[in-house]
Amino acid sequence: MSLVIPTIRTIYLSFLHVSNRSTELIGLENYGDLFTDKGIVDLTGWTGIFGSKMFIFGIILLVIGLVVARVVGQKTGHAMSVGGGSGPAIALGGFLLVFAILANLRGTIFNNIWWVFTVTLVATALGLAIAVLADRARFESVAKSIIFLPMAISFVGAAIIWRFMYIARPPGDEQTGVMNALWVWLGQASRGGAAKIVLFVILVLLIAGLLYMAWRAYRANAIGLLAGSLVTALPLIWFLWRLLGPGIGGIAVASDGTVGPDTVLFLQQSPFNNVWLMVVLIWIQTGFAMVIFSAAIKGVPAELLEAATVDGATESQTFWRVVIPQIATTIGVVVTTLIVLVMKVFDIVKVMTNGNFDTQVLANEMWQKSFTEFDFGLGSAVAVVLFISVLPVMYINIRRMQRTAA
Amino acid sequence: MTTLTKSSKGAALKAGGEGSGLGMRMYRFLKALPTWVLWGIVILWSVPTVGIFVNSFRTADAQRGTGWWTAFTGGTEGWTINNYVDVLGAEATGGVWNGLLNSFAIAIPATVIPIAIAAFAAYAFAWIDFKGREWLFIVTVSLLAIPLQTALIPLLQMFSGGAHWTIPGLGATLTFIPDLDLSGTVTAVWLTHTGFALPFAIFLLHNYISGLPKDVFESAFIDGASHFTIFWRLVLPLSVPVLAAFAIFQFLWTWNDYLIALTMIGGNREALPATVVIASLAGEFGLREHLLSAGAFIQSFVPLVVFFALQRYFVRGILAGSVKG
Repeated sequence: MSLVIPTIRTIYLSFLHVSNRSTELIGLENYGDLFTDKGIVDLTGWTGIFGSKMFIFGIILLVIGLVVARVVGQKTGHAMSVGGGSGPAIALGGFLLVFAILANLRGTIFNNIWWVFTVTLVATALGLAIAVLADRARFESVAKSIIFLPMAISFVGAAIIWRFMYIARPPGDEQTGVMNALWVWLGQASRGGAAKIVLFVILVLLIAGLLYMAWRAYRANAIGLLAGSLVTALPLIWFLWRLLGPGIGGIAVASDGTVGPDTVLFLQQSPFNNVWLMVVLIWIQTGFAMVIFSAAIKGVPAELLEAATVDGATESQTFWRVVIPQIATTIGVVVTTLIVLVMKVFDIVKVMTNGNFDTQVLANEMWQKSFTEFDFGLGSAVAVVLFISVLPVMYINIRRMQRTAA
Repeated sequence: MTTLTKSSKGAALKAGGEGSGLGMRMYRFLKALPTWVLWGIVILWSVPTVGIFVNSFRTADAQRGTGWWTAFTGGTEGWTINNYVDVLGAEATGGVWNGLLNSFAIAIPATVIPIAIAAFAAYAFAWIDFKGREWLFIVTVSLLAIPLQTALIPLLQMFSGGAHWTIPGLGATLTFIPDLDLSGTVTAVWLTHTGFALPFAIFLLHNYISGLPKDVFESAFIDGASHFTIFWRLVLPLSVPVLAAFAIFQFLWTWNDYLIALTMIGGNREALPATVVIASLAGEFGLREHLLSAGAFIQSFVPLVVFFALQRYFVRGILAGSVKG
């Protein structure tokens, strides 16, 4: 009961214009203000979508994945057959596509959607991958404890921890943040010296390995594997070209032609500063997803796995066709839980950028409108938008909880 | 995901032909790859925490001048524990000690009170037949869907001015809750936490308590035990696992909370819990930056102790609490 009345009052407040002196009923005006505010919905950047590398790469991956699926499908008589090679390509392509679109549509609401999309998917996928990797590995519990550890740290603490990772000192000085130190080091390495040779050798070996694999796959007529290894090789080749040609990493060419170190202002350069903030939440939540998946994977009946092995299924076939369907409900639990959590993300943004530099999210918008501008009407309207957006997911969640409880 | 495609490659290679030496060697390499990737991720995951831990023991100049990874090569130069002394000390230098006390003052009542109320309520929902039980329980559970943000403004208004309603047309004002002048106090914070914890606590405890074997209750009734005796002598001892899981979750949630404390306490620096104190240290860009790492570590110390000491309950608590709104 203690929560119903405040909620109703918030909805009521959202129809008011509240100032120091007066309160008046203004109907839906607050909502009108919200959705026409450039800071909240900003579609002007949409043309940038088509120019972004990620968008193009995403399309290429999607096309490759679909073509492979079609080719493999023709052999078996289906219209499409999504398998080992095409599945990841289609998934990654689709992910990059949506990611690129959300990176170019700005404003609080799209930013929040971008957060939900990226953090939920990456944390779920990573959590699942780590759970699989750690399953039956040596020192499994140690590895899992370390990944789970960030769950114990407060969001504020995590934000501070990552501030030290991202910190940028003046370009000439020694970098004390891990990320910028690496970046500057990479820049120096690409200008020559032993590090460049080492990097070059590693890259060439990796690319050669992938190409060899592609050749083997071609000989074995495994189209999916062929496409997979070629697609993985592409960014590496691009990286190699950057290393040998224009250079990569933190270097800046001054107007007089001298080359000096350059830093990335991870928290200031929009739009990707948002991604660096998301990394913090992914760092925290991957452990949560991992623990749940780990328990679910261990819960898959051993007979099923044995049966699959007896039938001659490969390891990956067993995983995709037996384990994944078995833990489908668990995936649903993790995804819905994360969506609600990310939807309400507040602490990380508040502490790291306070919504500046184009990083605003709904919860912080609500807080600023209400408690720094004291516009309770507008703040309540944001809160109601937040409430309505988590409601469907929460409904699904609660229904499921009741079913499992019953 | 990459690792999964890697393992599928390994499997496919095996299918492709195990004969040649190079292929075999590569297959073995690929097969060991998942383990390497796993430990790579583990190292990647611990770098931020290790970095801040090392930095918290370095002087301001050392932190500003060089990366933490250089600390081990420089001998004893640049190491200090003064950051901890300063950050725990007076308001002027850090004020985290005061913040820690406030955190306890918030987290302990906000953990104990919901458990006490919710245990009774859950028992009532599970084992006492009263009118409208189903309906009331459904309402309680659907309260889980309400995000914190939705109730913040009215709650703050209530804490700072009470709750009144002026009857339209009459001009008379009804006072539901008098102005207790709670804004800016820890009481407002733990009251809010209690309110938000209750639906979840009742739901969680109800699930557990309603699952207890029926025969136990029946035989107790036949022996003439009252509801209170059953609750006290039977239900509570049997529910220890779920109570522990909830207590840990709720304690960490309130200890790590930032939003509610920031909103309810606002400007009253005396009453701020540790999270808000270190966040405001972070907000002043540069001035006391060298104290931040120590402050963050102190704030995380209590949760980390709970984590390492009670790992099993901790995981259970976090998983149980993940659905909380």
